[in-house]
Amino acid sequence: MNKTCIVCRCEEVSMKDIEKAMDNGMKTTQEIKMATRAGMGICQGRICRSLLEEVTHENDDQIQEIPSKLTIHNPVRPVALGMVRKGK
Amino acid sequence: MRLKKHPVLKIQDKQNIPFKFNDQIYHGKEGETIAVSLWSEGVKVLRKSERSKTSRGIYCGIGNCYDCRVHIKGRGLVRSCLTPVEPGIEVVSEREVKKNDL
Repeated sequence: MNKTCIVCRCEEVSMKDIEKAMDNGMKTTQEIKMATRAGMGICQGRICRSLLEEVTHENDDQIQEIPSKLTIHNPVRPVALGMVRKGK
Repeated sequence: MRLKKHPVLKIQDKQNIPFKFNDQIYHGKEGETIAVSLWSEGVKVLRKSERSKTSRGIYCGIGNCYDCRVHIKGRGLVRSCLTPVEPGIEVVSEREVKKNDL
């Protein structure tokens, strides 16, 4: 497998970066996110979340009670600051 | 991306909508999104990525990934795969994109 392939498109995190984080002890998707910024970009993990969960195997053989261990932060959709400004 | 012939559907003649992308005039058709109008005119690169400056354009096409994001002057950041073209809008790419970029 070519490890230079991009997993998180928004933050440009490659498979190699993720494996390095896992070698350094990161086990869950949340930890990998903290170490590599994967899932923190503008799409907030919409594209890479399933890939990260595949890599960590943290949802195998489990009935999922919560959608993801990756926390999804508000605001749900990014907008430019200028669009929030009042009066102009 | 634009259909010219179809065995069943009647292809309607649609009005040209002039708009700008990086100071270059392009023409879209009524009802198209910015991403589709640009693709039909041969422009597939919509921005450069932050770190490695690689070319980005339409990826998911459904407004999920934000890879197609562009800025409209006076309006801000939009997803070009969802935003319809309007006459006279000035669209700008995130980071410099040259005309011949692949």
